[in-house]
Order: sequence, then C-alpha cells, then structure tokens
Amino acid sequence: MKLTPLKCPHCGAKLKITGNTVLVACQYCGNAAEFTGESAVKLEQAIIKTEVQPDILLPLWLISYDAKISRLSSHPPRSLFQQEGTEVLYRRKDARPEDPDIPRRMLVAAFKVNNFINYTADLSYELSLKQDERLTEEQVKRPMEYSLCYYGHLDAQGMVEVLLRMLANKKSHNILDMDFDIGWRERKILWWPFKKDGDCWRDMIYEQRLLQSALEK
Amino acid sequence: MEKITALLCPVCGSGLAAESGSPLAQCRSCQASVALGSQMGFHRYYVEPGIRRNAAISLAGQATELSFETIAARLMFIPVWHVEAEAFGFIGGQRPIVERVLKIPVSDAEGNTVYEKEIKQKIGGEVVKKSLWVKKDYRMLGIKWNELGGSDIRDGASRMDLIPEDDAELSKLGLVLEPDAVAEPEMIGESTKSFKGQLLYPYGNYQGLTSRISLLKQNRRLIYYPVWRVLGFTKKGRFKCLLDGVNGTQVYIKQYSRIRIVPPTKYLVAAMAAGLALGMILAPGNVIPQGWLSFVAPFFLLGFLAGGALLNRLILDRLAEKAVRLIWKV
Repeated sequence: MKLTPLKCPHCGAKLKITGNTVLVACQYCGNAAEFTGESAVKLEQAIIKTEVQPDILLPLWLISYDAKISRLSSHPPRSLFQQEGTEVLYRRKDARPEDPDIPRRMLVAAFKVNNFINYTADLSYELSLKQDERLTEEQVKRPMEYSLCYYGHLDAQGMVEVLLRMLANKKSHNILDMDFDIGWRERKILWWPFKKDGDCWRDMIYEQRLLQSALEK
Repeated sequence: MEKITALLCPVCGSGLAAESGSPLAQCRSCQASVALGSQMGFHRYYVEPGIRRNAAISLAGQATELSFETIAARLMFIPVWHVEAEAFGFIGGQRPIVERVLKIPVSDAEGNTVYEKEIKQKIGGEVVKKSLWVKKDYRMLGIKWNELGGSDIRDGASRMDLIPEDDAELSKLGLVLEPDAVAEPEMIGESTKSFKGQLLYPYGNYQGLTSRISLLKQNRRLIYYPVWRVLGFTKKGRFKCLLDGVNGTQVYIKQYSRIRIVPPTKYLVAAMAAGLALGMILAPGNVIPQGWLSFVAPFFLLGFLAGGALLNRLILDRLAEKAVRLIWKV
C-alpha cells in the first residue's frame, strides 16, 4: 500500500485534512488545495464579482476540455413522450444529429443541493453562451467556506460527460446516443454569488432559484 | 486471507488511525494526514452468523420434508460487494421537461365546484440523482444475491452489524471465498448497470429512451456474508441446501434424483431386428431360405424387442445401478 503524507502544494507544510473534505486550507500559509484521493494539488479559485454584496458564495467547478464525439447514433423518439402527443418543446426540428454544439467549458456544482442538476444544466448552458461578455472574475484572496465543497473534480468531470450528452440532445430533433472522447484541461473553482429571496437563494447573475432547504452543509 | 499490515506514519513512524471508508488516515503523534492510495478504496467487513450448525442441519431437514441424513454441514463466507454511491444522469434523450396541466376541482362546503385549480406537473425526460445500494450476485455457487436475502440486506443495511474484517479470524469460523481478481472492475460495471436499471424502471418500456449516468462519491465495501451449505441424503437421493447464515432462510435447494444409467439394450435389439427386417426385404432368399419362415419372422422380431426390454429391466438396470453406487459411494 502506498502511503503518502499530504503536504501543502504552496508552502510544503503538513496538511491536516479531516472527514470528507475536498478542499482544504493550509493552516500555515492559508492557501487552498484540493485533495484528489492520493495527494493535495494546487487549485485556482475565483469569485464572480457583483455590484451588490452577495449573501452567500457557493462553489462551482469551471472545467475546460476538448471534446470530440467518438460514437454517434440517432433515432426518432418512439417513447412515451411521443405517444402522449407531447412534442418536446425545446427540440429544434431542423437540428441534425451530426451538428451538436459542444461547449468548450462547463460549470457544474461543487456544492451539494438536492435539485442542483437541472439548475446546473441551465447554468452551464447559459454560461457557455454568455460568460465572456457578462462575467467578471476576481482572484480569491481571503479564505472561503471550503466545507461547502462536496464534489471533487473527478465527480465534476463525470457530470460534464452527462451534461454534454444532455445539451446535444436538447438541440436535436432525434434522440442522440453518443460517446465523447474528452481531453481534460484546466479547472478552477468559481465562487458564485447568491442572494436571499424569501425562502430561496437566488443566483445574482442569471436569476436562477435554488431552494434553501436543499442546500446541505 | 489477505495479510494484515500495520499502518505506520511515513513522517514519524508511529501508528496511523484510519476511519472506515475514508481514503485518509491521521497520525496520532505528529498530526499529519496521510493518503492511503487507491488500494484502500474499499474496506472489508463481515456479518456474524446467527445460525449455528445444529440449527442449520435441522432447517435443512425441514426443507427436504423427508427423512434426512447429513453428510456435511459447512459455514461459508461469500464475498459481496456493496456500493453506496450517488448517481448523476439523465433519461429520455431530451432535456425537455414537458408540462402537463392537471385541473383539480375545488368545492365549497355544500359540495359544489367553485373553481378548478390548475397544477403544472412536469413529465418526460429528466435528470435524476439517486443514492442507493448495489450488490453483486455470486455466480460461483450458482446462486444469486437476491436469493440470498439481498433485498433484506438492502433494506436493513443500516441496522446490520458489519464487523471490520481485520479484527476477526474469519477463516476459523468457516471457509472464506475470496473474490476473484477481476471482481472489482466488474463490480463497478455492474453497479453502473444496476443504477441505470433503477433510474429507468419508472418509465416502463424504455426501449426508445437513452440514458447516461455517472457514479459520484462512491463508497465501496466488501462484505463477507455467511451461508450454511448442508449436504445430505434422502430416500430420493442426494440433497444439497444453502441457508442464509443470518436468518436461516432457504437460499437454494437441490434434490438430486437417484443416479441411473440406462443400458442401451433396447436400441441394440431394435437395431438387430431392423437389420433382419431389411435383409428379408432386400434379399429374402439369402436370409430365409424356406418360404414358411417369412410368415413367422415378424413374430420373431416382436419377441426380440420384448425380450430385450425384459432383460434391460430385470438385469442390466440393476447391475448398472449397483455399479454406480459402488463407484460413487452413494
């Protein structure tokens, strides 16, 4: 068995990690590192800047990659959706299966929320269209609430594969069954601003709602 | 059994404390955190057997419903994978959440409908997340995990006492079957498949659907589950019974019938008779020189067949069975 003592990738000091933590702050230099299961690695973080002070910042993985379709097959929908006469609203009829739009980076939740998936999918989609013009990032200088990070980057990569297929299907008239060949590139944690809105948290960029009760620490 | 090694801190050399299921260990003296590597990706546990030998034999006897003589009763520990994970995926091929409007009549105190309340219900393909158990069936014994009370375990898992395997001397209790080398990747494949099945299950006939899931935050455990294997002999023949070692339910029963070897006399005699008949048809002069014999020949054939059957039943069958008993010692 390989036993590796965990050291801070910034200053080399001993790291003290307890429980199921993904992100950990060095108790000497204060910088954060990601525990990947075998070692602790450096991690880039950024805060999404807003004019109004947010109530809470929630962590999201921003993952860049090069994805190619390695296998693709398609067939017209022959499931219960069609039987009930409920044509899918979001499908564009002129979309061809060989023409799925693959975003080059994606945003997936690192925090745990019961209904996070639909939310994340929307946010990822929005982000792939709008991010460059609307978002301003700021380097993280202060220690954040790292206990909110529940999913590591490996989990996030698994989610990306699922979301890619989902986004491709969202635009296609036919049902697409595809596999991707993905080369992973840089990743970082984005701290996303949320505002309290009654019983919910509301995302301050795209106005998405998140149930407060769903947020599990 | 795998060799048990002490975990020593690579920094100061003192003992490490590891929590079950965690990929991390903490040094007791220098407070360093140590990553245990991927080999420690799972932990081993065993379930203590609740049925003793005599009880197992009597339960097996009840299962036969015949007088029963024990040959052997052995406790075995079967390795079963237990995966606790979150699945993340989508079903349907589309993102599409289609909204269905349900109209629910709201009535006043007298029972008249005042207005219809509209509820928007989301149907169709959706993204799902689930957290559940997966288990591996154990094919070596010809039994499936479901037959081994797998569903009970799934429901009562939190209440079951799982004893860390390092502290126990399992091999003293019974025979321990080790999982084969390919079991772990196979288990991951199976668990993914099982998750997929459970995600698609509510959609009934899902021929036209596509789905994709990935497993997040996996927690794998290898559980040694006790099973009593009782062999015996009844008047019908040999008998084999597998009992759940925790609650004593019958997992698998097989009543072998008495072994019989049927000698091929019947066919030999039939072949001889057929040859004779063929000869009579093709060249009657050579086979039967006298004309009157051709009238008697069919009766000869019948006699052959009847005699062969009698011979088979009275002598050869018994001889064959005696030989089998002698050789197989049953």
